[in-house]
Amino acid sequence: MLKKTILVRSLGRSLLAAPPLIFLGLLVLWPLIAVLRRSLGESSAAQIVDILNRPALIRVGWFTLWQALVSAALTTIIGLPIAHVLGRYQFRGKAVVRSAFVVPFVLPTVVVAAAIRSSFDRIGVDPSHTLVAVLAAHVFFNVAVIVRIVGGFWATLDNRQVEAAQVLGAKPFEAWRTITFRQLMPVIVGAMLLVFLFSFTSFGVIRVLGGLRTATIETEIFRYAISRQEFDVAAVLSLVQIAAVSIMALASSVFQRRHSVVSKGTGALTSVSAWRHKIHLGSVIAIAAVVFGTPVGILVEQSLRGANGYGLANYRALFTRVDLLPVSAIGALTNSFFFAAIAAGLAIVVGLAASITVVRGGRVGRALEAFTLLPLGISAVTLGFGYLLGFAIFDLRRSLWLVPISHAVIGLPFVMASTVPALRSTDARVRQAAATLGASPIRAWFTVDWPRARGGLAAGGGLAAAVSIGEFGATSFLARGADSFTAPLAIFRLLGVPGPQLRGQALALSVVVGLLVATLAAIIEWRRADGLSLL
Amino acid sequence: MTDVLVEEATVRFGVQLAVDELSLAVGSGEIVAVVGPSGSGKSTLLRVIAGLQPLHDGRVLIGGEDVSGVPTHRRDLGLMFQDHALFAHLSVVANVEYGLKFSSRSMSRSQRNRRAVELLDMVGLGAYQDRRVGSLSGGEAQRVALARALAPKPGLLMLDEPLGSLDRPLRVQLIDDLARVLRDVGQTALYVTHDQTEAFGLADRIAVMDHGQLLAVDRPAELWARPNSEFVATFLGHRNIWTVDISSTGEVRWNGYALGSIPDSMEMPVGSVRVVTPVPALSIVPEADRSASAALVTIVDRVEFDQGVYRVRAGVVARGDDTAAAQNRAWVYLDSRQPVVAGDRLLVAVDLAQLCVLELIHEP
Repeated sequence: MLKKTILVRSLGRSLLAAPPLIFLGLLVLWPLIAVLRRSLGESSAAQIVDILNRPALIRVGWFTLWQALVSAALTTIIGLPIAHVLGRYQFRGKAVVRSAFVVPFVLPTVVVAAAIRSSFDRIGVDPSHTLVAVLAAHVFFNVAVIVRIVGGFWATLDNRQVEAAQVLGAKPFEAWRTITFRQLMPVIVGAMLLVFLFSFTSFGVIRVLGGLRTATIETEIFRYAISRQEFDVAAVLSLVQIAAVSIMALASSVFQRRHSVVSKGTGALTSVSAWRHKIHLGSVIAIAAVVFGTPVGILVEQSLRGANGYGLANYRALFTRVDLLPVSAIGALTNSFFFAAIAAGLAIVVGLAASITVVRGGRVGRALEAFTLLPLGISAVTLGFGYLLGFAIFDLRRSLWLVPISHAVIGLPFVMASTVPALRSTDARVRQAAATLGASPIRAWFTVDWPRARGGLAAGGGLAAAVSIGEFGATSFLARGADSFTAPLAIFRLLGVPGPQLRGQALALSVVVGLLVATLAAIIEWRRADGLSLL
Repeated sequence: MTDVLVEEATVRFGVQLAVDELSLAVGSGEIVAVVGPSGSGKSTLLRVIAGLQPLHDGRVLIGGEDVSGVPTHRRDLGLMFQDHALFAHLSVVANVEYGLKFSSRSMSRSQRNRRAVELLDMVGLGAYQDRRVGSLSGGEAQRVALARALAPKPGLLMLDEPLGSLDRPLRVQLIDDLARVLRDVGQTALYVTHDQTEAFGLADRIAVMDHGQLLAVDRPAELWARPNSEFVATFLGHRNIWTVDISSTGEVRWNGYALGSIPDSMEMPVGSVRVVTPVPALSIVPEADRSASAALVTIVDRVEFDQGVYRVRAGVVARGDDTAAAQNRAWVYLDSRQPVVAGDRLLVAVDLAQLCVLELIHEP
């Protein structure tokens, strides 16, 4: 009897663990292996060194590195004052302000790039001649990372430790320097590393805003693979990308483990009553609103500007196909919706099975946990390239389905990030209580775990859909023909053409896509008080 | 060591008075415990003395000097926080060294280290120097916090519920350790707690606080024997609190029973009086002595066996109706060394010399 129960249980577990393992093995590991085989397997060491020594590629490597460094530094400098006021002050409408800063992070890269580009056009500067545009876009995106991670941690910092320092004789600044700052620093560095990683693997922004001199490893992988069909060079570059990302992830985790401080979460927030605080908070929020609102405002304004003054002409034009695109802009948007629905559905189903396995623990659970975070680390372009190489033999890459499947892979970590904590937060004793009251294991799971998992799945699935709608990197590799042409691809292609008419359409489509994604993100944020658990 | 004087201190949070014209003196080398229910303003009082909480009125003198304009870091204090507030990013020894950097600037790095190790030895944690504070147990963290607060040799040490989060056996042990360390150093200390047993175990004097006001300050034995209000008596753990009638001849009656006469030397008001009777003032009288002394007839209701003593709650039975299980009975609490079980009939005598008046309700 006992034996039978154990057998049934372990069978059930394997049945749950199998789909995510197969999914990830086929769709993450296999493409990666394809890239590794292409680079390490088919080129000799001498050939690889030869490729790595090309001056043009060395220049690309350096540029990738230092633009990411400058982006990370700038984002931190701009984000910290905001993180400070959100972390230390208690005020009405704080939740709204916090949520507002997440919107840029979920906006599609091409939409942000379009906003920055239209802002530069407005002041009459060609963005491709300056690095400032790329940096501005990276800051725009990633400020949420700093604000949420650092601000969130700052709010939990134990104020009494600072008081203890003062009682022991430290002057206020001394206490801040030796206690608050020292505890904050590892978190700032961690968040900065994340921004560095995102900027290092930035693709859409560089494609839209970059010029000849602003090519990164990511865009070069695309150029060598698609435009020049030099797969061996692209594969070596992907290898460099994978190595760089792995080293960063490793460095980050080692650094976090060595320096991070677990805060008890008893921070005393200052309520904003003194004039000094009101002015401080008000000015920081106002400046941030102007800085981050302006590009969005200009995007909307420019999208409304047609040949005959302001109006909805650009939006109306979205319904008619132009020669440049295989479908109309609205057709592309329809494709995007279709793919987003499939990607989110797939990510939810696989994510639920994976989450349960991860929460159950054990060797399989732990392995799966590390495994599901992989898509976060490897860049979308590497993934897309891996699909191109890995599925060539089956000629699957012509298939329409690779686009939503790749989106599901990219969206999976978001589903996991919101579902695993939700499942972990259920007390096993509650389930045991249900069992003692007569509920079968499956019934107990549905009464105890499911209500919590549901919210996490919905939020994660919504984010996966938002990410899918905006996905540009992998889609660039995989989209073929009218059926798989998505809205971000349309925006990119329309933006690339000189002349106001198509540019206006690109901006109008950007506004529509941006609005949809922002609304989706806002609903998720609003439904969930603690916000994106990924941040 | 330093003495501390708080004079008519007032702190308002909005309209609420957290500290209400409170005055308190702590002598040099004295340990004063401030007890009171949570929310009574005890912690605020400590924060006022530390300079972490500004005063709306009144002043604080440390070592005879008005410290109104002196910021926290120059007040020469030690403060042990509830939950310790150890610096989470520093090692144990670095936590203890922290204050030495400011208090004795002439100390070299190695001297500071030696002093810190010395203190860790004193609290029994000499081997813990390089541990991260996150890995400490509650009791260990409490000792590190004590060593950290004592290291700069503060004029006044304040302890804010330092044992609050610990379980009972550990608390009993740490009270002993704390008492030893504080006496050895001759430390002036102000100890805040909501637990009266901690206060009795440690303090030279106990101050009872409620709603921001000081209700009583006295040495533990005096405070116990003569609480000055029903609130203080209840808070200290007294349970025999009765309303009795005292006649002009000194005869005391309770619930229809004549308890006897108060000794001539005692001065008592006449009329209906609220009194407190310590548990030891109640004793069980053998049935044979019934006629000899005035005694209460009681039926045992509940017995709790605690450390060799039977702690008894018994209900007083109406005179002439010894067997009836009376409703709304008056309870008496007493200790017995002999076994007692529920339902037993006990004759209880009250030593009226130990009666303490709380309040005169009305004159006859």
